[in-house]
Amino acid sequence: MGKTKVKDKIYTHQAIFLITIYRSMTPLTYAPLLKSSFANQDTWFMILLSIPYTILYCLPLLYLSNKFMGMDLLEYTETITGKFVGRILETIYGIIFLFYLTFFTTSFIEILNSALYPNTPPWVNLSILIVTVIYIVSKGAMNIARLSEILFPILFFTFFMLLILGFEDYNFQYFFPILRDSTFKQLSLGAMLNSVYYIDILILVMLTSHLEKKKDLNKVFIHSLLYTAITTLFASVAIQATLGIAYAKYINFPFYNYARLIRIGDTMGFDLLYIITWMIGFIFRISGYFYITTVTFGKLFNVDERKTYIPITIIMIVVALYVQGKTTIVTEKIISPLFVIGVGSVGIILIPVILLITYFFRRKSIKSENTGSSKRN
Amino acid sequence: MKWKIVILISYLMCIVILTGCFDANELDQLAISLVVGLDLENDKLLYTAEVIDLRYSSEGSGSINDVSVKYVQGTGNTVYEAFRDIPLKFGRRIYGAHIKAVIFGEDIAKKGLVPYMDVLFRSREIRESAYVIVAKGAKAYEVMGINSGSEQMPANYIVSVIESIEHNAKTIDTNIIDFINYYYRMGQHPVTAVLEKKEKLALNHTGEETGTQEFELSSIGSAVFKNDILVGYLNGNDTKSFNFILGNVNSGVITFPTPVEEDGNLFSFLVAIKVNTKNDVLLENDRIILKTKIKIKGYLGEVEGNIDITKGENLEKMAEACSKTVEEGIKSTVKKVQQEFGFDIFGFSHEFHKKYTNEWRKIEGNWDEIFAEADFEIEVDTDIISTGLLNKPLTVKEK
Repeated sequence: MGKTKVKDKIYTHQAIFLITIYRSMTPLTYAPLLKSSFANQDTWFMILLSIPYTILYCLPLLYLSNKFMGMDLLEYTETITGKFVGRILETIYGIIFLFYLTFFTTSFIEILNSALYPNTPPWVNLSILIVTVIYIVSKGAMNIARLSEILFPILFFTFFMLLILGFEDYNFQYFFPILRDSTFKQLSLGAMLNSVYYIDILILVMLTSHLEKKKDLNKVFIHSLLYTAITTLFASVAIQATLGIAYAKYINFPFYNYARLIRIGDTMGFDLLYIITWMIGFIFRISGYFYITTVTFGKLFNVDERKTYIPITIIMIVVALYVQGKTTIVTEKIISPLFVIGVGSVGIILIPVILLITYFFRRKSIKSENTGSSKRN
Repeated sequence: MKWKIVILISYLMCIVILTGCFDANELDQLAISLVVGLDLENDKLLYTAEVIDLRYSSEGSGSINDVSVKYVQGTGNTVYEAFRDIPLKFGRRIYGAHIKAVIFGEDIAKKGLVPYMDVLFRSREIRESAYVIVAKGAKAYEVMGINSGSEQMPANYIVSVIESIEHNAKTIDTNIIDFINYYYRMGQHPVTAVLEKKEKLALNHTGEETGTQEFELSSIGSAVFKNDILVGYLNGNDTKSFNFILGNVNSGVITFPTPVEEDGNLFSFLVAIKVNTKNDVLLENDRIILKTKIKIKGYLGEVEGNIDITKGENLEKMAEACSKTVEEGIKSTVKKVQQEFGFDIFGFSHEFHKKYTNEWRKIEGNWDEIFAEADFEIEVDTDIISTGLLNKPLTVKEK
């Protein structure tokens, strides 16, 4: 990332939109909480309860990003742990970002194939995805953020419109009895599960150095957290009230099924509206992960980010085509959901906690190093 | 810059031109199906589909009596195999996105529906909003192809008789998603619509020309399932009572004896415009009481007998008679379900679950037995808010 150019500034509201879109893609695609064993009529409460859990989960990263204001995740990792260990941790982050990039790419191809284009060869969808993603990423962080300003109203207007259009089919009886069947343990485990899917904080802490008002980091986090909680809550209620709590557990892509059921008179096919906006949102999310992956590997190999586009693209293509040709990502054959959560937890909890402990032990020397370097500068 | 514009334009053109080229569904290569039927025939699944005859539509000719649909069948060990058997005989793939109803033959319904429903949920084409119907005492294909309504296609006729619940609650409109939710929810068993083939009175002479007009379909009644296995039927009145308890009656008609001291069977008729149902369960000294409270608002549609309904007390008598009829009907239906079937189709289990959550955990596995032994109490309150355009029956002569 190096020095942030003035033109690469991201405004607070753009960052909020960006992170909200990225995170909202999870409930609007897989809705993992609804398919978990914790899901019941009190899932809505688990989502609300997940707000404090998410703050807790992201606290180490947030603390460090606030402490090293103006630095991104990779920069303060190296500052805290030194060059050698820093490089190792950066490599781990690179692998984590690459993992999510390929995971989302494969999911995207698979959803398109199972829901919309069963006969279209995966490479066609993949080619369109890659060209779009590279184009978006090549325009830099500021333009990605600007795009979020355009996409946010489109995506959320469509989302709320679908919620309203399907309202006639809601059966709120499914939500009774309220909070009497669940134990606090079950509610908490559900809430925790929902919070550990907040991996998009990695994008936020990678873009911190671009924020125009760096002090607004917490504001961006809290606002995006609340907006995504609202999105998740509404999406979950709509899905469960329409499809039923038990049946929702069987569905791979629940919001898609919900949109399929919307009918006004004889007019059907509102799922296409969902698919179009979902595609836009998902491609945008993949662009974000592509961006931070290229930034990380560019820094690791000390090359211009653009030079990493080709190798990263090749990895994306190979993995996506391999998985698509062999099996399905929705089963546990290749990646279990636990593994997906585990990888995120390494990046959001494990490494930041190590960094935090190291920081507390080395904070004096880090301070003097920073003072020295700023004097030299 | 020029190159960028050229690349951008080429890219946009590719997107426009190539969109859906692999998954294009050309109208002239599809068999658009509106209703499908599933039967067991010689231990094999028989898939019958009613498909729109696009040739008829494109030519735009033909009278109302011309057949605008075709029937195609396929057999296989699974539903999908039977479905894919059709193109081998018909030459076109069945396109299921417009399927409005799935009819199950009685034989298949008695074996259990859920194993055969997998494809309905797994397929990206078929929507879960399609109605689930049982062909009463018949194969599914036997009730298909009958069009005694004014619809152009038999499929739309079938859908219209099911959707007549709006006008008369003697039928039910359970769709696939409702069925699966009944199936999964502990303590409430599914009830679906039925279609019965009936010979029609030979009043319509056009029937002789086409041969399709001599039968009609009746959706009166409903099919009762234990989990997903068909165990019996409810008649029209019982289905209406069932709909009252479930709160499915938004409008509809109630026929009740006119409260007059005259000989003969004189009936009046209330058109309900608003019905509110509230179910409850009471647990008293280990005794479970099922309770239903219904509030009906409606107007008089027909009055037989010499009763002056301009008098308040007479109108009150009419309302009481209506309430009594509904009460008796519902009591008899609940008793019938308790005695004949012995399991809950009304969803009182959910009321119990809501109110006595801790007790529910202990008894949820035995709810059906408990339901069968439970007492039932009902309270119906009718408000007649209009007498139509007449204030008293024409039989009441002014002196």
